[in-house]
Amino acid sequence: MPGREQKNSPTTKQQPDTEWKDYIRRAKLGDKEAIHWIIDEYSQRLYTLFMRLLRNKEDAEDSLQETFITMVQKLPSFRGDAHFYTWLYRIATNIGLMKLRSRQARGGRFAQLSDIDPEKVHAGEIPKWPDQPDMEVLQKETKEILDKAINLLSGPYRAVFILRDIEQFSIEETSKILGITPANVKIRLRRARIFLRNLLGEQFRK
Amino acid sequence: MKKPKNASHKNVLKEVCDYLGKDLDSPQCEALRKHLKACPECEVYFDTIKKTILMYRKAEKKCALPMRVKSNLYKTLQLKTNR
Repeated sequence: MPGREQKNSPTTKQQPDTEWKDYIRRAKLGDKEAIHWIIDEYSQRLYTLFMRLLRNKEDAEDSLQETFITMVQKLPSFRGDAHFYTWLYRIATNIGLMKLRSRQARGGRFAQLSDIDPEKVHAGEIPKWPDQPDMEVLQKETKEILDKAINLLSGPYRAVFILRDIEQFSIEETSKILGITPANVKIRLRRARIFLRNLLGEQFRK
Repeated sequence: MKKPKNASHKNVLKEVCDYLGKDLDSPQCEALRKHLKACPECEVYFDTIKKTILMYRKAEKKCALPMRVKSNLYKTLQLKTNR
């Protein structure tokens, strides 16, 4: 089931596998109660994922609707080769990434990260950060800085950072959700982390 | 996770990036921890990346799903409001 953040959820670790399989089997046949059950299990966490990815309520709401409509349409072809949550998160992430792409096409500005070569990042050039940069109580100003920085990440980098570092999916799970290789997840993750770290470092020095 | 035998800067940076978030006290991370203790440059790198991630984890709270959105969803999919 989804990463560490949700590990204590009664709907994940504690839900018996057989019960899950039964709901999915019934949902595939169009059983409305089973579909209702799946929506109840996933709507909250997918909404949070969309808010993190899209950072806009209206887009998050639209994407959530679209995700579950697509899920119902595609359920009959779900073969069960992948975990159900990976399959559902893949649908959701694709929809979120499409929204971000259309934003970019409408003039949204994202940073170019492909130039960042983690091999060439010299550790010696990185200044130390304060021990506690507002870690306990994140002030409004800090939140705005974090928000601005993540908004500069284009979809592919933002999705990897959010799935791996915020939602805490494993590298393997992240690669399955995004349909890319684990090596690709790692390189995108490194670039995203370095980019955010550098940007935050600049802001904290101001 | 592979244990970095000769933990060079490059290896450490890669390992830190790939596996950050895992338990650094795990036996697999022993060589990594040793290197971080002995190398101030890598330690700063590790520390700033770790703080970046922790700040985001703290800032990115769960967002409450408005009931109105859920109701619309049930309506669109022709599901009963209550199971």
